[in-house]
Amino acid sequence: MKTSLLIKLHLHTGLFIAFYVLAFGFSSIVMNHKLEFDKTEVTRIWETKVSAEPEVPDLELAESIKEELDLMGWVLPWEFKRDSMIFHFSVVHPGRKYQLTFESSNGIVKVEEMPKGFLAVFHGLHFLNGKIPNAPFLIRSWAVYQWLALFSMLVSLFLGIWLWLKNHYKLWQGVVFGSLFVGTIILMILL
Amino acid sequence: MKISGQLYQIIRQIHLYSSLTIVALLLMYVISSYMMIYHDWFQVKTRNESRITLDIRPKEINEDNWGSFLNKNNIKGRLVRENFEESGDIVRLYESAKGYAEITIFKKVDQVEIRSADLNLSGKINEMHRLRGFGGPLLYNIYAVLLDLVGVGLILFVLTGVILWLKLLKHNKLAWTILILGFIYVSAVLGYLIFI
Repeated sequence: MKTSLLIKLHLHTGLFIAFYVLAFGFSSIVMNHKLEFDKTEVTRIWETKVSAEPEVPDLELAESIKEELDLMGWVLPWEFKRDSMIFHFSVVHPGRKYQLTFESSNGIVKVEEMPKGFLAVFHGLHFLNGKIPNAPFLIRSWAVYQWLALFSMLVSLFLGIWLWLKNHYKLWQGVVFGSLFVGTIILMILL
Repeated sequence: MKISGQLYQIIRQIHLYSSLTIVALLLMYVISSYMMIYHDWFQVKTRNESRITLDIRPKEINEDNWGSFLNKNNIKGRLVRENFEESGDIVRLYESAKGYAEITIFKKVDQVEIRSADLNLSGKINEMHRLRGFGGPLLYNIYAVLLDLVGVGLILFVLTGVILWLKLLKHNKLAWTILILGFIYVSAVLGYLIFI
């Protein structure tokens, strides 16, 4: 294959994953330093009536209310709180947390929305696999994008190394970066 | 985009060196990401599970000789959790990419219990993917420095890559289409998660 074609392929695969890689670079630093970006301010409160059966177990009740309200996200069982007439629970996804209060006497649910903010969502792309309950096609398609992005990263990486070895390789670079490569592998084995 | 020859060479070198520095970790991340995607095929399992009870007075394992206690009992990794139970027992969890050890120091009896297990290869690679942060033994801190290099390297890799592309293929419609579609898609996902 011609070198110019390999360069084009390297560039095109690189451009395809550019924003994905940016998110991962940012996210790696965030996680390594345990930084927190999640905002916890309630920005919207609304109420509605649901037809959920209050007698069912907590998880079932939370899931049925979530389905009825068509909320995207996971229910958090460790945040369930129930007293005689009131049931509190949360639904969360990478961009938002919903705190719900269900009054079993009248079937009214109060929903408090807490958007996490841009930085938290940008960081959250690291964990996104498209499998959020009630997610629309756009979010579910992330699984395909992620698969392709990882494959493109692999292709771009190998092509980049091939082009370097073929056209620009210098002995000192081989020694320094080869040692770093082997050193990193040894470090990973030791950990 | 006009870039002088010297500046172009510098940007190309930053692009090359930032990727060569992190290539081993990047490969591990890509491989382990695929293993996470196909987690049914690469199931994480524990093996060599053990539970031993040592007759030791809690006083004998104070902070001064805690390190030698860990060495003597072959406990690897770093402290990731310490719980003070209502009973007065202290539970310390040590984790490494190879496995874990949970040490319970009982208050009411002169005993210490060590529960440990190793991970299979999928588990080890999975844990390596999750391993992060400073703290603990020296090797973990060296690894954390490398992880910072990965973060910075990836960002530099993209920024310099885009500049190099603008120099080499700025009139290439396919390249523009790929970049713009990627931007629109990631922005749409971000926008949906932020606003809807």
